[in-house]
Amino acid sequence: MDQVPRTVIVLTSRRHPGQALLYFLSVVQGLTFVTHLSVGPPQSLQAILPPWLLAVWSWSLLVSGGVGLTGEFWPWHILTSLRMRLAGALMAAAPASAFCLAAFAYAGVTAAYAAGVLGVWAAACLWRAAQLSVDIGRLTGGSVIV
Amino acid sequence: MKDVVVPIIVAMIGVLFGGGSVPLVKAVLGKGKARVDEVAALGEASEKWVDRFERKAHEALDEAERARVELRQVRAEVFALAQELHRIRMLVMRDPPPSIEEVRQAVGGQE
Repeated sequence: MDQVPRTVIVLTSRRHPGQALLYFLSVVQGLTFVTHLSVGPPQSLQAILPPWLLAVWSWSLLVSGGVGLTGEFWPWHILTSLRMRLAGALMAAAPASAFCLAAFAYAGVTAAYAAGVLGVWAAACLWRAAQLSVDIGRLTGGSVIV
Repeated sequence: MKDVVVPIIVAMIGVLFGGGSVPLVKAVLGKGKARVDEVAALGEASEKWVDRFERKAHEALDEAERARVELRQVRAEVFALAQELHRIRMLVMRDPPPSIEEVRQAVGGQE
């Protein structure tokens, strides 16, 4: 009998560079907005959002980036890492989609590119969150990650 | 415009942050970790069982192949014996009957 070959695929890295770097940027930017180290959040947001919501937005940027980045580089249990990544992806979609909407509301089609990039980033975060959700479901349902 | 956009943004931040905080709380509480560890351990054990089963199956298949070869040899011998028996039978039943010498020669020439 011929032996059925077992294909083993080893992933070189489970981290997504684009996502990790955008989380890093979120942390840096969120930190500067929260601590008032820079000129503050983008003009469109300042024009549209009330101060309390602007503060919430800045904190959401910082927290989402921090959670996502921690999940990306969590070295211990894989389930904790995946759940933190899921949390980070869902949370990161919040400030991105808020900025997208505010930019469109403030500048219209002039802000198409900047708002589009943020909107696409928010959509990508939600897409990634759906993928992570499926992976977590499989993992807790009895599958093994290779 | 502000009156429309602000509630939408509040809702978006609320829903997405609320949704994100659920897996974060689960991650902090470590829910389901024990089960995942258990499944990983079971996975390793079952892999060993599969390897053992594969080895045993190979051994059984080799043995079956040897048995088939032996069976072919036995069948050939049985066929040769049947032919010889038929030849001797024909000789014994012959008319006129064969002599003792002829019968001796037919069965191998031994007394």
